[in-house]
Amino acid sequence: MSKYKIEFDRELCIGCQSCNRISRNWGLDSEGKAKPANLDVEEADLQHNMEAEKYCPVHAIKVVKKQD
Amino acid sequence: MNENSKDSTILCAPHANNDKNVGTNIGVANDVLRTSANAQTNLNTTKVMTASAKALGDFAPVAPITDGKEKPRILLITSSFEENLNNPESSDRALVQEKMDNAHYPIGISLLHSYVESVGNEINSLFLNSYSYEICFEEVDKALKEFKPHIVGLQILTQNRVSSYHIIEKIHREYPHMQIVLGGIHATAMHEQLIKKFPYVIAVIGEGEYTFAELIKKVMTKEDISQVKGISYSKDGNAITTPARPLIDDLDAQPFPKHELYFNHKREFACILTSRGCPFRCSFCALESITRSLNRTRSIRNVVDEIEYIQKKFPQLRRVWIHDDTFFLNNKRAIEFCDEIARRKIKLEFVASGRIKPVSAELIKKLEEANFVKILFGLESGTDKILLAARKGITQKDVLETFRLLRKSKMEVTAFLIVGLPGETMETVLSTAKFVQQLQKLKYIYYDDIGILNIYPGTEVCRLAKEAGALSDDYWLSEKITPIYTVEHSLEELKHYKKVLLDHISLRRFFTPDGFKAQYHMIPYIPRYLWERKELILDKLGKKVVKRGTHL
Repeated sequence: MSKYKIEFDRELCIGCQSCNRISRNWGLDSEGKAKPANLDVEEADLQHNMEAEKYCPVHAIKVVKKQD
Repeated sequence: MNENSKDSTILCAPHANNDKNVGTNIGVANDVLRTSANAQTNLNTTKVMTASAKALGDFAPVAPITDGKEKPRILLITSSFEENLNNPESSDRALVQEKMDNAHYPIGISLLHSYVESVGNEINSLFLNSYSYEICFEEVDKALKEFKPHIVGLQILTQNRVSSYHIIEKIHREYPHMQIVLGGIHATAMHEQLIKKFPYVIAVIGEGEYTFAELIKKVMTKEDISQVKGISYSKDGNAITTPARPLIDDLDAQPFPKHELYFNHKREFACILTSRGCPFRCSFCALESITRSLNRTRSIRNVVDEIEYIQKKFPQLRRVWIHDDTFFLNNKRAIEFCDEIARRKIKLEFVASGRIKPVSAELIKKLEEANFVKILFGLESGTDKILLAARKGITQKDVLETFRLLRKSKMEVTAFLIVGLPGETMETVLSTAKFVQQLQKLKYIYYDDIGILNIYPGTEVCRLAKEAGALSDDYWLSEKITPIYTVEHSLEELKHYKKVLLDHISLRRFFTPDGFKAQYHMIPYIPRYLWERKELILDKLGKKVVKRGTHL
């Protein structure tokens, strides 16, 4: 079971596509806003999702550790 | 943002570490008589051949190893722009200096200057963008002779590449013991080509602070440079490019830019950078080469600390110009900046540029409270078709929404336009004219001039021009000026488009026959703008009713 999950605030998203250039987990929805393919993050995908969080200019993406 | 708009002018102090020299115009000294023509004919073959491995066309370490007591001496140069070639004013030292007293200064070079100095080097910077080639070459010659740098770094922009090429050849010919390092946006985009043309130089790719500092250490000790990330150099006749260096994320850890280089008693405005990089990828913009379209920010506390530092050191400071690629990207952060300015009771004027979307009503209110007097947007076109093709990520609807919010604002608003983007026709020009007039009815925008699309290496429009067979990379090695995008229209047609657009939107054209015909219905919307700027207008007319506010 994955230890991390994504919290995404779609309202904040400005559609700049930083996340989808950095992380394969991120695409765009029909309105040009970011859309994660998976909200659960496996260990192998942690790095690129963390990069997406780091470079989101409006801090709409958070990768958080799941509660035990 | 177009490269045109960045790092426009400035020449400054020869001895940055010495406060006594702050604001000194190195251009005043006039004891060097070499001209560019002289320099070109003074080829010294013997000196070239003494740099042994260079005969093979490869990079080879040349800078002497110092004894450890002597600091490495680094000279940074940003040389004359091509626009000075046929501009007699650029040969008038006093006039250029006067213009530069309150002009923008290049933040990139001043950040690099500060960082390189902070890690134990002696550094001088020459800012020669606004001077004629002749004066530029004289000043470089003088600095080479007097400062005797071990390493010379040149900031290569597309507009100063030609004068930079002359300087590179001159240094290699006459000072073969000095290591030449190239950096800047053009050097980043075209590093392979430059390394093949000048195999004895090293190119720094992308943000230069850490790479250049590491390179200085390696070069000064003649160590192997192959492990330095983010560089390109020649080996066995090939351009070798090392793995990319990570972007600088912790911007707060960087020293403040060397504002001291530019300030004299006349200067009243400072330039600052609160963030780096724009995540959008407009088809005409070259910025991606450097910042990889990733936005990084300084903390607001760190930014405002810098403003207070400048204000304390230079009490005459009146205005701060925020040179971010896009300051409004995160409205929340821009609001936080305004709140901090208010909290610390800083009484200055601010100017910033950014995207037209998102701009909230709350942001506009906060900007006004913090005393932003002017905001600049990149509009580029007034038709959705062109905006989409240019990958602007905005529509007419977005623009109108922002201008409706700005309707009652006292801030001056500028919306830059470019004529000749891919897909432009007379129909789109007229559509843009109509749309801009619609905006002017909401919030008047003053147009002095507008640009015709230039091509910069590394951009989408450059790729399109190459695909169409209108441009090859050889162009960048020529002495021709930065090319215009003439894939779809001739230069004459583009100039006509520009004239038509200006006739519709520029107040300066109002009293011309074509301008009046296109603008007479705008008469009700102009008086408010003129009234709000009456002091500036009267001042420009020479009546000097106020002493301040002359350099909008």
